[in-house]
Amino acid sequence: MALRRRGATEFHGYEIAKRLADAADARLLTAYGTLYRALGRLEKMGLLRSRWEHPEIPARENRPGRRLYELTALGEAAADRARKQAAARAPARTRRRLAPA
Amino acid sequence: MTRRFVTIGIRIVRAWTRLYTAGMDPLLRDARRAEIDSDLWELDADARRRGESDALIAIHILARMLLGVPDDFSWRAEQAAADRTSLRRSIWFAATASFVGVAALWFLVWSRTPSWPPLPASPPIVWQTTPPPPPPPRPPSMVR
Repeated sequence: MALRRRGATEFHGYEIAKRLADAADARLLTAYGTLYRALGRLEKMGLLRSRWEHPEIPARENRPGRRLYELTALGEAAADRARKQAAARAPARTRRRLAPA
Repeated sequence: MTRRFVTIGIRIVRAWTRLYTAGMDPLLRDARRAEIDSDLWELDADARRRGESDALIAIHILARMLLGVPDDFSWRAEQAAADRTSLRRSIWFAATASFVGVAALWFLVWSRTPSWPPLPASPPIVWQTTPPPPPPPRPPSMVR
């Protein structure tokens, strides 16, 4: 969701790991096995779709090719639901914190 | 000098990935290997851009691999469950994977251990033998 807010529609694995670590204020990125297993499952569930970038791009930039992930319509709906649930929980938490003991 | 550690770290992750994807469907296998390769490159390039030390980059690379090993096992088992014929390969994989895991852990500890100075030469060994003491004199009552 944070990557979407930046206007990007496709993300590669390292970018996702980096964003997750930034959001959690963690120094260590998500482990390779954990990250790519989760992405594979989300793809199998139909929430993500992936494609390999055109081979000319990595060849020009002298780096390995990236697998790019994109949210599907189902994924967009799930992300929206999660966003709304998080927003609904946030004020309740704030109310609890501010309530006198 | 420490750049060597990054290279070794990347090689260990690649070797581990080759190992746990061995004997799989070529499409799945090659996709996973290429994806890990890309991630390794991105991590290295990003960390160097931010000025991180090479030792820290190597540790980060290996830590991400070690923490993901249980998920690599599970992922492999999921794929094996979908394909019954690969059961024997999975058993072989589990045994070899354990060995590689221990080797990677050993490398992690070894890379963090300072090198010891060489030991001093041992002193020469000299054998010294003393002759046995003379027998005691006979008691006086026995002398005639």
